[in-house]
Amino acid sequence: MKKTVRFALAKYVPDLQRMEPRNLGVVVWAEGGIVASRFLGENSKNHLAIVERESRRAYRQWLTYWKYYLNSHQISDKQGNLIERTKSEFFDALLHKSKEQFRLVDSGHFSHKLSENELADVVNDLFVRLVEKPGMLHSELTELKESCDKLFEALESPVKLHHNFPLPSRVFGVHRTFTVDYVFGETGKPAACLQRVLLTRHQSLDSNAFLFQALTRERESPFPKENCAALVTKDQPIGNEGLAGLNILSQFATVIDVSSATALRELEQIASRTSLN
Amino acid sequence: MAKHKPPAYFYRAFFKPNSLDVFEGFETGLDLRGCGLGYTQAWHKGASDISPFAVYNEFIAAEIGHFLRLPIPPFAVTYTSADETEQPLFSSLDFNFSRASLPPVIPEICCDKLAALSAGVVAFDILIANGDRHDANLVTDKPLDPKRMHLWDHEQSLLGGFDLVGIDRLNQLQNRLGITGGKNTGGTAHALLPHLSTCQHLFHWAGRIAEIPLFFVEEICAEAAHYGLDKQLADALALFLRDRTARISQLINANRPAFPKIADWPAQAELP
Repeated sequence: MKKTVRFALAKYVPDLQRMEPRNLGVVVWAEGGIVASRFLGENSKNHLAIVERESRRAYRQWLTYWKYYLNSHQISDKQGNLIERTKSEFFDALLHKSKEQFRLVDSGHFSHKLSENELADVVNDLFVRLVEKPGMLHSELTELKESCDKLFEALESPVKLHHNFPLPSRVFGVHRTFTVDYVFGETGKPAACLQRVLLTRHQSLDSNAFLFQALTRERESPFPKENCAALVTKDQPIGNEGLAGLNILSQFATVIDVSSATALRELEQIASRTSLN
Repeated sequence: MAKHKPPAYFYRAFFKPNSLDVFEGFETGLDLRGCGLGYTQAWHKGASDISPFAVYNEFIAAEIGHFLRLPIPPFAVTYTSADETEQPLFSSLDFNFSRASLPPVIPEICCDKLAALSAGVVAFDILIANGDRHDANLVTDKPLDPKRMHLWDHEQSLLGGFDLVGIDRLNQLQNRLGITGGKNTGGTAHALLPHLSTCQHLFHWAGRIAEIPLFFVEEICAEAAHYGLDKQLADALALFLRDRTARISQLINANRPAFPKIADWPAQAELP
C-alpha cells in the first residue's frame, strides 16, 4: 500500500553569526508512522570532519536524542501534548526537537505516494544527494587504494599482477564483463581476483558480493573461493550493515583486512597458489 | 516601570566592583596569594515588553533554587550601561564553553534515571509557579543515561510575563500548582510532571522547601526591590512565597490528579 512521505534534513550550523548550515542527515516519515533515517557518523566515526571538533560530542548527543524519538511510539509537542507516531503531527513535533545549532528542517514531501519497502532506498538516495559530499567517498576510496597498492608493492611472490582487469562471465544466462581491481595470473589465464570493498558503503558491499558470487559460481571456469579476496579496512567502527556485508562476502571470498599485520602474508598465500597453477 | 528594548544577549559581562572604574592590564594566571583577575562568560537577560519582570523573577527563583541545592548555574545581577540609564541584568554563568547547543532532555528518562532531582525540579517549579518548564530549559549530560542535570530560565515564574502578570498572577495561582499549563494557569504544561512515578521524592523536597526561613524570603524580595522592583510587588511576592513554602505539601496533595503516574500517595492521616 502506498503512503504519503515527508522528509526533513538534519542541519548543523557551526557559526550562528555566519549562519552557514551543513547537512548532517535525513529523516523520512511515511503516513502511518513508518520512519527511516540516516545520519553522518551514526555507524562509524568517519565523515565527522564536517562537524567542528568541539561540537562532536554535542552532535553525538543529538544523534542519540533524535534516534530515541524516531523509535518512540509517541512524542510531546511544544504544549506538552502527547502525539502518536501514526499522526502527521508527530513529524511536526519531531521537527521542533531542534535548537539553533542542530536542527531538523522540514524539506518537503514526495508528490507521489511510495510503498514501505521503497523507504530505505529513498533515505539512501536523499542521503547521497543531499548530505554526502563527494570528497568523503573519494577520501575513503583513496585511502583503501593506497593501502592495497602498498601491500602489492611489498609482495615477493613472482606473480603477474593486473589492475582493472576485464573478466567476462555469465550471470543468469546473460553475458557480463566485470572489471576487477586486481587479478593474479597471465592475461589469458587469470587465476585469482581481488577487489577493494568499502565496508561503510552498502553499494560497495552488495555489488562486490554479487561480483564474487558470479565469479565463483557462474563462469565456465569458476574461480575457487580461496583465490578470491575482498580487500577491506577493519580499522574503523563497523556498524551492523558492515558486519552483515562481511558475512555475505565471506561466503564467496577470503576477506583480507589490509590494515592488519597478517594482510601481506595472506596476500602472499594467494599469490603463491596462483603462481603454482 | 520604563519600557525597555527587547533584551540583547551578549557573551561577556563585567562584574564591576565598586572600587574600580576601569580595568587595565589584566593579570594572567594567579599571583603569589593565589588570586587573579580575568574575564568570564555569561548569559545576560534584561526586561522586555513581553517580560517586564524577567530580572526579578530570575533572581528570586535562582536564589531559592540555590538555597534548595538545585543545579542552577551561578548568577549575579549586573548592569548594562548600553544607554544612559543603567538597567539591571540577570547574568547567569555560561556552563557550556564549547558553545555547542545540547539537545533538550527526554523527560521520561530524566524522571526514571534522576528521579529525586526531577521531583526537586517539579517541587521548586510549584513553589515559584513556573509556567514555562519545557524540555529545552533543562539539560542533561547524556540523553539516555543522565547523571547530571542543569536547569535555567525562570523568567515566566512568580510575577510572570506572558499571560497573567504581577499581583493578578499571584492571586490567581495562590491555590494552584501553577505548572500544568491549564486554562487557569496558562503557560506550558510542565515537561516532567506527567512522568513522576512516586510521591516520596516530591514530599522530601516539599519538606526542604518548608524549611526555607522567613527572613530569607523577605530579604531576597527586598533585594529585588533594591534592583528596581516596585516595593508593593516585592511585598506581595514575599507574602506569596511565605504562604507557598508553608503550604507546599498541601498544594501537592490537593492536586493529586495532576500527577498521573503517582500511585503511592499516603493516606490522609500520614500526610507530611
